[in-house]
Amino acid sequence: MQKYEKLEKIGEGTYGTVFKAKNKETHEIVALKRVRLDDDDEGVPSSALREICLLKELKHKNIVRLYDVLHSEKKLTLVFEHCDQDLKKYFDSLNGEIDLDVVKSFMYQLLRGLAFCHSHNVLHRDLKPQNLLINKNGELKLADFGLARAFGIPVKCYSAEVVTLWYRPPDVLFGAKLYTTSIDMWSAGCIFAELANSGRPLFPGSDVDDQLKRIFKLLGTPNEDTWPGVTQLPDYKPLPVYQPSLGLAQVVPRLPARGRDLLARLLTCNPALRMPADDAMAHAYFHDLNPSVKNDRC
Amino acid sequence: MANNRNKYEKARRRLAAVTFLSNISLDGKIRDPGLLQIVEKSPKNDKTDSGSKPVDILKDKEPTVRNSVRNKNKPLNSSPVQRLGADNHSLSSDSEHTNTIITPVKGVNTSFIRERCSSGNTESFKDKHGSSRSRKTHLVTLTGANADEKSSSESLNFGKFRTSNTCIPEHHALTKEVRMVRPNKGVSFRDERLAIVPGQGAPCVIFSTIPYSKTVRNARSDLRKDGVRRRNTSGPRPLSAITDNGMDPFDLLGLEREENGQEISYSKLLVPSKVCTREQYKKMYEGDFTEKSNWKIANRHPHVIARCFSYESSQRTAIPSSPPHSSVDMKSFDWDEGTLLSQKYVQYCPNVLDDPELIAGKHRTLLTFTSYMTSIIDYVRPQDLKKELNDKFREKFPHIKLTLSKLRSIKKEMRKIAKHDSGGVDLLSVAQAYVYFEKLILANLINKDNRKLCAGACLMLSAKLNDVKGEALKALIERIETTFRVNRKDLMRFEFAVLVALEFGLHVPPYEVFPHYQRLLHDS
Repeated sequence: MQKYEKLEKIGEGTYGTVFKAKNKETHEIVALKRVRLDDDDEGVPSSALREICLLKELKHKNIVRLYDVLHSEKKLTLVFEHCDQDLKKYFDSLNGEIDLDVVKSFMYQLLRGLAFCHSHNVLHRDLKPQNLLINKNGELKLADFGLARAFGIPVKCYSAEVVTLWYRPPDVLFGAKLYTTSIDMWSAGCIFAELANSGRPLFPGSDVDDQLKRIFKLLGTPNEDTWPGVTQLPDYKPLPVYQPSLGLAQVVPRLPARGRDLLARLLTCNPALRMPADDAMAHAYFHDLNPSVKNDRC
Repeated sequence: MANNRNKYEKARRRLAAVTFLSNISLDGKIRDPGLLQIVEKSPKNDKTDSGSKPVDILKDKEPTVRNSVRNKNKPLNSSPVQRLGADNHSLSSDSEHTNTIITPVKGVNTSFIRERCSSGNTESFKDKHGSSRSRKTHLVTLTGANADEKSSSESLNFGKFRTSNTCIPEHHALTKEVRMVRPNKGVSFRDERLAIVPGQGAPCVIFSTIPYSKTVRNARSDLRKDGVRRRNTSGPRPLSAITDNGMDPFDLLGLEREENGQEISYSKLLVPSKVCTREQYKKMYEGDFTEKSNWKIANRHPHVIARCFSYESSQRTAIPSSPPHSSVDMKSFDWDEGTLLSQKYVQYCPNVLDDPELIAGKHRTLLTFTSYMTSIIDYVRPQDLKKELNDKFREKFPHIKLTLSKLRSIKKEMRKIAKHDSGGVDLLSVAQAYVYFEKLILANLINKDNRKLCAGACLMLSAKLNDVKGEALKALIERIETTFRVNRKDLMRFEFAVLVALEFGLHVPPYEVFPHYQRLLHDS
């Protein structure tokens, strides 16, 4: 007997098909991720492992909930909390400009979810609008922990092939194999700008070089003075020296000064100076945040 | 010629060793630098005897004369016993009864006497040996009883004492007589440890004869036999699939399994582990990753203490025989219960199972002198040490079906698998795999049939969470297959079983992993 009734296919995840389904008993709508298990293969896909083991520890209202893991001979099904859409689709559905209060609310929830992950030694490593789920109540949840990992003990063996190019920080673009929570904070900055521009990506690079150039055109090319150790990174290559000509005001015109200040602190090339999530939550930009969002503790 | 030379080498080494050992007195001073000379001066009169029956060697005057000369400064006691006691530097000078026995105790090859006899260059050693025989002689003169000999040898109380060897041919002899005790049909020194025991029963000289050999272990037939036996019990299983024998990884781990095609829900395992967050942890310990801090944690959570101490308790008898999951009825499941369940793994102390302190036995004597302290660590056969450590371990964890040495050897193999020239797996993955494996052991889920598969699965799980992917992961899996001699299908089945057995708790806090990581770093 099947506990869930499949309703429709939502999409293809990193390691399997995602369905919208209904719990036959409670009529609750869930999302099912189906993972095929093949004995001759490499066992449980690491992305599924990460989701199970990390989401088990991450129960938070701004992180998608893993309800159940179903196992049978040949397949593994992860049962997730279902959200109506992701941030990408939300952008697409916008008619005109986004409400700046929504920007603030989403950004705050993103930071709160991230702060929770980071306090539990988890790096998400794949933050992008597609992986942020939005439900009808305007709640934002971090999803897809298939690339996430623990970072408790720093070793230089973290994968540099992480984060979708547009949201990848310059240190990882230079091949850094040791990084910490700052990797997610860069992505959060990119998403912040994208939110403020109603869904227009900030750095839509076509390859690593283009990505770096786009970043440095806005923020200035880093050197050993602004970022000690940058030239020692594995894939460092000298790039044209750009001066930070464009002000953030031109890039995110709708964002107020405090918002621009927060953005500048997140989009800092030197990872050591990038603002951490809990500091960002305390930033002046959020002082006038709707208290219902702020106090809504999990 | 070369053979002769070789023998001479051997004899020389032995002589040096024996001289050194017999020069150690109980108070730690080396008293007789002249011994060697004396020994060399002594007559070469026993060159010829090589018979298999005991031969008494009369040393006429020389040894006694020598002794009396050397003992001039002592309060003169005409008793030859006394004199010889002094000569024998291991004896305390005030011993009245220097009844000594050469007592074969279980030890190593002692065929040296015969060898020496056939070699022309070894008189000096024999002579030295002869002097020890003379001690023996005096024993006989004073007590002259076999019974006494036996009782004194029993008082030695060596575990593996062979009483059949305690009877050493006795001869009433004159004070000047020096006796050679030789191995014969009844008495063999082969593989023996020899003790010279005065009448009071306290051994004054104990020594083993160790044949010089580069492959010394091969010379010890008992050890090798034992080793082989041991290996057989734990060794490579044929490459047959465990599942072919009708065993299921879930059964082996004591977990519930799916019925044909039916899905098993593991929602109850998705309760967060009760570990403190990084902030709490930092606040409490400020980056102090020592074991003590973990014990401190234990003290902060009252009902967790019991768990920790239960590892320590040797009287722990009530071991949950059924695995925790299967005992929980799904329907009656509630979150509180689930929280309690996962307590099983909460208080894992990284050094509790494989205690890094547990490397030496109690074979140590501490000597306190006025100005310094020193300890003597006796030679102990690796096998005995292993047994002792394993016994200690079993006492501490009576329910665990794995010896400490086995645990360590499996961990070593895991390390070996990870270490590879062409881009192996980092030590952090190994350390994390250790945590998983030890947690399984502590949960009493590991047995002889599943330990290699589980160890392999732990390594695989840990590697996957530590960014090992693609070719590196494929290579790792292949190395697990070959090193542990398991087949892939079983390994994959065990991977999920282990995952469930660990209650999906692969995201372990750094303080559980760090001590292992540190030890790995230190050892590399």
